Amino acid sequence: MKKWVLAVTCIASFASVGCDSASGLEACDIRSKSCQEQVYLSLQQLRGDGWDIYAPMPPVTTTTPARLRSRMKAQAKASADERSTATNGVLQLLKLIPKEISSSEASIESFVENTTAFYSPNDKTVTVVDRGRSTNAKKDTAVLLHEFVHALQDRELGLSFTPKSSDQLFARDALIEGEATLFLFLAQASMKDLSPQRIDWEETYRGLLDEIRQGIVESSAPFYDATGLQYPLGGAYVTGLWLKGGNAAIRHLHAEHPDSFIAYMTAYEHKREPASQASDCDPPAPEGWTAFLRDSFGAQIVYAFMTAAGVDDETAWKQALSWRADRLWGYTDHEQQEAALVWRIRFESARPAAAFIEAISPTDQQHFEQVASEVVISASTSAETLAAWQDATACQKE
Amino acid sequence: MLSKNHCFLRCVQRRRCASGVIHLSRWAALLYLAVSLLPRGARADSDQVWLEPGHRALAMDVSFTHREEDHSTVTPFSVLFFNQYVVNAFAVSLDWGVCSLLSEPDQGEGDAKVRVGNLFLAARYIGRVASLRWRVGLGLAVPLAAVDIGPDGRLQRAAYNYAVAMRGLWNAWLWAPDRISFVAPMEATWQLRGGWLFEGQGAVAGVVPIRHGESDADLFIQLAGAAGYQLAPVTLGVRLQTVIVPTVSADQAQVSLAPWIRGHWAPLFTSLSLPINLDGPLGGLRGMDRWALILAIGAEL
Repeated sequence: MKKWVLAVTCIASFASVGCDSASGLEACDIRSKSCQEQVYLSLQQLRGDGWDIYAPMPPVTTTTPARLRSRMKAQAKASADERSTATNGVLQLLKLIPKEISSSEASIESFVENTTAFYSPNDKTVTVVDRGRSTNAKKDTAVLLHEFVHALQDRELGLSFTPKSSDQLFARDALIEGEATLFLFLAQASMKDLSPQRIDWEETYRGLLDEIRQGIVESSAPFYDATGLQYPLGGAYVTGLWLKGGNAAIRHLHAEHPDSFIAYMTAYEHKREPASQASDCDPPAPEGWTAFLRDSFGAQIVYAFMTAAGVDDETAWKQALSWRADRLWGYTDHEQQEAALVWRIRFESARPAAAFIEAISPTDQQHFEQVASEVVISASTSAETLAAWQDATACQKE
Repeated sequence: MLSKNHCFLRCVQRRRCASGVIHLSRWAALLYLAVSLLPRGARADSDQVWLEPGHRALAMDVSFTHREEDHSTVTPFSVLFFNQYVVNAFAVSLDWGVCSLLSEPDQGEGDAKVRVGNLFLAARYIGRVASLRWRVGLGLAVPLAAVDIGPDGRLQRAAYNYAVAMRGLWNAWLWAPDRISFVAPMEATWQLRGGWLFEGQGAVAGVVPIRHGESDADLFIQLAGAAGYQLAPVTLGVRLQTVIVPTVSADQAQVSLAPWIRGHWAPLFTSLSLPINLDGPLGGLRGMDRWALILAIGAEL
């Protein structure tokens, strides 16, 4: 089940001064219906589309972390299949999730740990995670408003989406989360009677980004924690548009949007988005094995991979910014007990490709090779297969 | 009327050529032309025109408002056409509108959307007691208004939201996307000697979604009272209205006040009104759409 998660563990503080707004959202106890209604109406006001009488407020329910965990585990169990076991193998080979637990468990833990509230397009419900601590009414109110943005997006766009790749999914999610994050901060400004013009947006998003990057560096499941980058980077991207054209620029936000997460990273760094350089290789599978996965992870997972491999945060970030394309193939044996992969990452030139190889020491299950501006990572849970897989770096034209 | 229709369509087509973003589908344009050729009667600005049997009239009103936001502006605009024909003691009417929204950023290109409203057909029985005239009837709003699920959906919804907001939710079924409506309208007018005029209008409507995934059916109850003083050929007045929607969870009533001025130079009539939404969610200090300007013109034939 796809969730739209708010993983903002701490709302970055506004580096701003003054009090001159009067749009009127007030912090309240988000468990009460009157509060929820006030927040929902305020959101409609902030978005400037008028009052949609036919868009009722979505139901809001409350759950505990334990109940959420068990509910998600039950759902994951119901949807588990052989393919997900093989996918776990691939992610574990890249150290993007820990070996001891499956990718779905890692995903669930990341979700339960970091989520304050979420909107589910499946049941069209906003769920608030009650952690039993004293609540921060301003933060909670802004988080509820963020989730209501997703409810409206679902109504307007339909959030069900079949991506071509993980990278495309991350890029689309960045736009979805970016819009909701912008309104979260606008809501916070409103509660502080602060004009949005007086917010230091760069400082706001830098603070949030630093915190999420720190979380990825310390994470045992960076593949999932890296999705947290969608909030500051998507938020900064959408806010940039909003500062030029207000709600008018946001109303057609989803008509044209980046297809790769690198666009959000480069926009944040005030760099030009690189031209797409999709790889057209198709490496041969290990003998007797079959391919089950073909994907593109994008720059954010290159960053997560490097931090998981022990590269320092700043170096990993700079390296990820030189990402230009990637393609990942996953293979499994007949019994579907073993996994293997080839991950071809293309950088902007041979230099960052060489720097990538220099920065990371492969594990005994991994093999790295540089081919011009590309790095080819081959890996397998079977040492025998990896040793015999001589043509893993071969580039057969598709 | 026909020439006005053509003029309107030409205007829309010009905009389409210029911006490439205005969409008025061909079938809607053809339907619009067909409607304009039907027998018509008078109705202007919430049923203030009362015809004698055998007469017919047509009218249109134009609503406009403007909203300044941070870094952008919104300019909603709608045109509503009224047609009424009176046969013996029955008035048959047809209303149809088009709404638009201009969404303009401080920097960059703006968007414009034009959407058709629902076609409202109604028949009313006309009664008279001394100087009090009243009408009561039934109507059906045919669901022509629609929104897409996709990148354009938000702008389209906003166009409908503002069209209904500019009238303080009055006759909301005219702008209810993907919904069919069943309406029981009623009106009364009491003309006193000495120039005083009192009017009352009301309706009960069931608004039912026809597309999967939309919210449940809604009930609308609307009531309005107006008082005016005639200084021939001009009448000055004020109208107070409330629209109650008991089926929504938040803010179930919208109250609006509209000062107006009407002129009557037979066979032409005109009116200008300034609806002001007094309370939330549309009005008040935190309102989303506090005011609009509505200009109506028409002719008895």
